[in-house]
Amino acid sequence: MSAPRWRLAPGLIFGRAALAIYLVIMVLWLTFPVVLVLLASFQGTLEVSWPAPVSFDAYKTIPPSYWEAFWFTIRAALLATGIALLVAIPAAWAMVRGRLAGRRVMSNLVLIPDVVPQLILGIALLTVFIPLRLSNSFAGVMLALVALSLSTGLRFTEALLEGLPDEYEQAAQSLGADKLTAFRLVVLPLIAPGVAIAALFIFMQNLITFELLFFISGPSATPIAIRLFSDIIDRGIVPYAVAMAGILVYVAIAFYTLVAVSLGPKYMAGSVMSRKG
Amino acid sequence: MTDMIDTHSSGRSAPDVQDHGRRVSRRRLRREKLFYRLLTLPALTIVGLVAIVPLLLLLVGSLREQRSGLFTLDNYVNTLSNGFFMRTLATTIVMAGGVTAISILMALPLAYLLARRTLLRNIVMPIITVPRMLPFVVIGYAMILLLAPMTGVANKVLMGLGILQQPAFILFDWPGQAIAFAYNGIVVATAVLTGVLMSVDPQLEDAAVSMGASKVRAFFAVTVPLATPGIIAASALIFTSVVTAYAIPVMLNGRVPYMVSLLISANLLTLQQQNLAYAQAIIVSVLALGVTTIGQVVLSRYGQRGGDK
Amino acid sequence: MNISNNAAQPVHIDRVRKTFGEFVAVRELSLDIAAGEFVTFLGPSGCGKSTTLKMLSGLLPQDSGEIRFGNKRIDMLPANKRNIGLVFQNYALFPHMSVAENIAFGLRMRGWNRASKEKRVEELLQLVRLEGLGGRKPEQLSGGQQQRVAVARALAFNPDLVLLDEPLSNLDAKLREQVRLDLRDIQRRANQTTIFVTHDQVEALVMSDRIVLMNRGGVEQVGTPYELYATPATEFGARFVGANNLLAGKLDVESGTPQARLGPEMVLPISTHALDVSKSGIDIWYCVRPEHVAVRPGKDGAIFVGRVLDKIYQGTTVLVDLDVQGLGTIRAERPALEVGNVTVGADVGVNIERSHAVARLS
Repeated sequence: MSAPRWRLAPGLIFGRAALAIYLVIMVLWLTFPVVLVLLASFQGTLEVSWPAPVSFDAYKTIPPSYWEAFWFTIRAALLATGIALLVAIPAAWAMVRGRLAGRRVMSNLVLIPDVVPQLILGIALLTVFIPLRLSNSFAGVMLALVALSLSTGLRFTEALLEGLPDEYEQAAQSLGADKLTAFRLVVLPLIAPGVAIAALFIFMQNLITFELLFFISGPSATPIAIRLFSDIIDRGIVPYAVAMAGILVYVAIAFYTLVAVSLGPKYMAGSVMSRKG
Repeated sequence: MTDMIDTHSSGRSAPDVQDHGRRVSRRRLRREKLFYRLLTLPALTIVGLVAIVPLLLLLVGSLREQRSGLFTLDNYVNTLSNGFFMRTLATTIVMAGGVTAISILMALPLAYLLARRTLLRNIVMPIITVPRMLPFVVIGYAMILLLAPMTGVANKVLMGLGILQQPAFILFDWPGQAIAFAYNGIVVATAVLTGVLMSVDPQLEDAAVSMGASKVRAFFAVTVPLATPGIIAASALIFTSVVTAYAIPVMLNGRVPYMVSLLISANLLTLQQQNLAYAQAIIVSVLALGVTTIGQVVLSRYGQRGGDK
Repeated sequence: MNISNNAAQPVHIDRVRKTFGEFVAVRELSLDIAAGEFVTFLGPSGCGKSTTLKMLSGLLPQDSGEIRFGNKRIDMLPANKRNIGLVFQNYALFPHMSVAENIAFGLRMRGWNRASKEKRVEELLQLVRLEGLGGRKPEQLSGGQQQRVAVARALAFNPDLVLLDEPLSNLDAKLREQVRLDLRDIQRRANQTTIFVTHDQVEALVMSDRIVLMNRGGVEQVGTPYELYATPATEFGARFVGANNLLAGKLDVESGTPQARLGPEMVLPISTHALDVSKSGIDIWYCVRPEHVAVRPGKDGAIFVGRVLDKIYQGTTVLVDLDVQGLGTIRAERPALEVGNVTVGADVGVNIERSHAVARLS
């Protein structure tokens, strides 16, 4: 399946037609995976036929182990997001307002889990987790997610705090508030909306993390992405797996709706751009 | 009303009272700095223990012989002189480079349209964003649904139309992987490039057009050069994500491994050659980080020229 | 309305100094301010006025020197313990709190109970003439209104000192004029010791009891607006405050009274000066304000003869640029009616009604 290349078109009509074809092809390309997965999930088979009767069998036969994995992932992602932000916000405040020496170095250090390829970090974690008996455990998965979330979280919060003018805290201090009170009454409420959005993004990022967790997961600690992966390796594709994939699509759509509704589409382009692939 | 500019020589405050005041405020400043440093401690500890220490151990492990534990560069030497590994690395780089090029080229016009037309952007934004909120495994499923020899949509359609006489077995081979990577690459490229092109002031293009350039010429002469740092950054992103990918190469793997991550995991999990795997992992990360760093350097040096918000 | 600040304190600044590495932001600054006085720190950007303000408020520690309110030494105290009200250039009103909550913030920090807070907020809203707007959010108010909320917030808790950092620079010209007078009125009624920082010399002249003219970290002059305008102490003051014609010359004391020698045949009387008259022959600037240059059509009876280079209409006054024999280019400012029949290119008579002299450093 190849698409026409973008060419300098001499005639306007030809150019317009080429543009229209290009747009259609691009939209098709961008949507086909999600569409195929959803269609297949409602057909209960491993192939997509058109037309076909709608059947919920695939969804109904999702085994408990899949749901376990799903809720495991949700729990780990939620907890990791919460812990990461709880740690990142004071750290970012200290870095931005405290004017500490070596702030650049600290900032970059915490970015390491984001910069290093997940595959490598996952392998590295395996070496450390085995003796600590953290592999194949909720705690281990959560720790790995916290490290990753911390990078993203710190980046977000640092940007939020840098965007907040010094003057608010200075005004609060001049009015009698000590630094902590100023932080509580002025800084936190003003960065709260930004933090909420960051939490959403970090949560989703945690939900779909794969390579980082692959090596340290196990039978008792299986994120849903890894469960879907290993089943397809071991058993090949099964209808209920496609259904579970469909469920993940619904979660993604719900997330997008939440963010778009609270932010407005224009902001989406900016924030989407700043996240890594 | 009193008035004076010059210094009071009445010695109102004895020198040691002055010093005491200064000592008090200096102590207060030091306590403040300590307080701030303590706030950064949890973050640094977590990163240190969960990322830095394991990576250092990885590095150390890569420098040791598997059985004896002696320090040696053998793992690196063996890897870099291993024809199989280097060939696989080469195919990985070719795959990553090709996917990056195709992704950028295909996404650039769309990104431009999205950058300039708000309505289109509002419609297309969910289409670009939702796939990025899915684990890559789901894309792999979609590839299977699309490209499977007998049951895949592509094969069924093309055979039904008579274009193909027999099913194309591209799924568990490099085309299948390439298509999966290209999908992700185009999604990422579109998202990132839209942002990049949005930050280039459209008035600059309009100025070029008002001076006689055609719209296309203005695009290539004005917008593309300004967007180049962002394009390079996006390319680095896509390139490294392909080089270090693991899920797709394993899911859609054929007989011949094209991607280096397969070799690494084989050494790690199956062949019990952990230290060798560590060395290979480090070689791959150096490659990935090198590319990313080049992208960042270019972006920070040449970014923001002619941009606006 | 019980707004008057009976506890207003005098403020003593004693040899306060601040450097940033090599750069001296504030040379040793000493100043005594009476209780209830309105003092303006005036100077161009970078002169150290804002730095001084930050040191007074406690947001920036000084390198050396003391600051006292009455007898209480405050320079060692952190910003939140100094009992100072601060009005920022950008107001810094808390966007997530209502106007009333903003104003009450200082009271909340001091543990006032609800009833007292409400009463005090009402008093202040009346003082700044924003009654009924307590429930609004800052973004719903105009710039001038936001500025008054900032002032009310700073005054609410009866601070020992109020500092205002160029609070009018974000307002448009007409509004600025009105708010200037409002602020001065509020300050007088509250009897609040106030330090006002600005680079706008008209503002300083209009509002202040005294002006501290600063340049490059040092104090050029301290005095009333009249003193600074009529008798600037330094060349910088002569140039910075108001428009001025500066003519180079030398001090001539041969006749007993100080005079300005502007040329071999040109010796002119000096009305006022800021010179050490024991030093004959030193370089001076002979300063003539444009409003003290008289212009007459026709040359009879005039001391100087000049040609009109340009006329610039300003509404009530007209600027007349002249090329005066023996003096060079001089600008005059006269009421519009007076110079209606003076045309560009014509020869006119020029008189100097009043002059001042300051030292000229090469």
